Amino acid sequence: MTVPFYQYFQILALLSCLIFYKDVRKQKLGAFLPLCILVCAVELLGANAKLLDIKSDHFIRNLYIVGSTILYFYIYFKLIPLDKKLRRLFKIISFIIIGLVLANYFFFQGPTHINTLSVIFQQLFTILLSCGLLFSLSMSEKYFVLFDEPTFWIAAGLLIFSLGTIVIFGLYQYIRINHLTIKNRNLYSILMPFLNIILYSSYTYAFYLCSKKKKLFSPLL
Amino acid sequence: MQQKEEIIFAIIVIVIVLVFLGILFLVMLGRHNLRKNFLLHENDRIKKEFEKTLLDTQLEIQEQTLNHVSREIHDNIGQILSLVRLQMNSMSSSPTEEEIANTDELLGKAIVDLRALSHSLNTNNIHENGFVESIKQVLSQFEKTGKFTTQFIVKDDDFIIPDDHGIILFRIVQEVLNNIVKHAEATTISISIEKNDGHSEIKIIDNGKGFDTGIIDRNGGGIGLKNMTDRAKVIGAKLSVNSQTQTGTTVTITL
Repeated sequence: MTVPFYQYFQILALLSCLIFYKDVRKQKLGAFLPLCILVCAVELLGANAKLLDIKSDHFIRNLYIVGSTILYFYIYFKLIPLDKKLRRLFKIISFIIIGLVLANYFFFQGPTHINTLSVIFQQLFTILLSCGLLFSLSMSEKYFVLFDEPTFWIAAGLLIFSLGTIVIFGLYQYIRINHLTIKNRNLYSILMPFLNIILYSSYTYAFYLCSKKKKLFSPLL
Repeated sequence: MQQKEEIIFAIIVIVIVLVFLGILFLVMLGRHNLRKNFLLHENDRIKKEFEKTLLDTQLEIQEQTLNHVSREIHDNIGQILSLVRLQMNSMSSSPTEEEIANTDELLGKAIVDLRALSHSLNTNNIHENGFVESIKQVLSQFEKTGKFTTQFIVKDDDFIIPDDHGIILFRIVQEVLNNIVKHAEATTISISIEKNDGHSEIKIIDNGKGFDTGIIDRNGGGIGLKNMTDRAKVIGAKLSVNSQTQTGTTVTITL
């Protein structure tokens, strides 16, 4: 079985989420447990596709894209403080995006091709929502240390990850067609591990911070 | 081949620049958070300092009121009652109407003074009557002594001050008046409240012997003046002293 280096960070994030799950849930981050399980399962299956006699891992990765889009929208819906009108608007936009991702999976790019359009959509909204979350955190009138907030590390990790991913997935087809490789490794497989390490390290730290919080305090409440 | 390398390089640079921009944004948020925390902390400190000054001021006013009451009882009411007692002792079994009228007049005066004392004992005086009315009462007490001619002018019709600020401001004015009594050898005291350049100004003017304000510049003034200046700062006001020997002193509090 192959376990690429960056996957250790994903497994670490999953383990810390499991260990601190009680506190993670208190901070409204409970949905990260299924998300981390999904990531670890998909990445392990993808990395060992040949061993498991799976011809293409695109099908599994596309399922992950659909699942993670739903989970991310749910997480942001829980985290970002919105009034009644904006909550409704958020729900409508979320359903439209999820609908488009599903349509892309079933009809446009299909399950056998990597759903780059869905990823771009997902990352674009992740950037917007992360900025929104970080903005509302910094606008809070309460006294708190930003770097001690689990939500800050979640949003910060997602923001950096999405900023990198959106370029790579935006040029995914171009990279493949033109065989843009360094030492026979395509650009995607060179850059993505670094971004994954940043993202899952920040998740791990965020889950650890949840355990440090004695009671539910959110500068957003 | 070289073109491919350039494209790869460009893509990597774009990703790095975007990630760097993201990190820069996060650092800026962190700095903003630090600054906000510092301001919140400062705000909290100023609030606590204000509350402490308010409490100190209230205690001082109370203490001064008690001193005033003690003096009044000893020097005034006590004297009147002793006089009444003396008169009653010297009265025959059937006193004349004039003797009764004299005693009655003295007792009436004692009652009036007691009433005035009772008013000054009420520590909520400033809360109940407001700053302007309280200043009027203080000046009328000065007038009663017969040693001072007083004047009170309010030209600022919009002059409103929150209760807790009013107590501190009242204490500053009271301190200035005490200084006039102790050191100025003045015969007239004038207090005015007027508007100047959008700011309310309270001027306390006396015609006393004045002093060389250079002392303030050189030594920063005495503890009393420093206290008044600090108190003024707490309520966001500025205190300035203008004086010349033999021409009197003007203390201005700008709000």
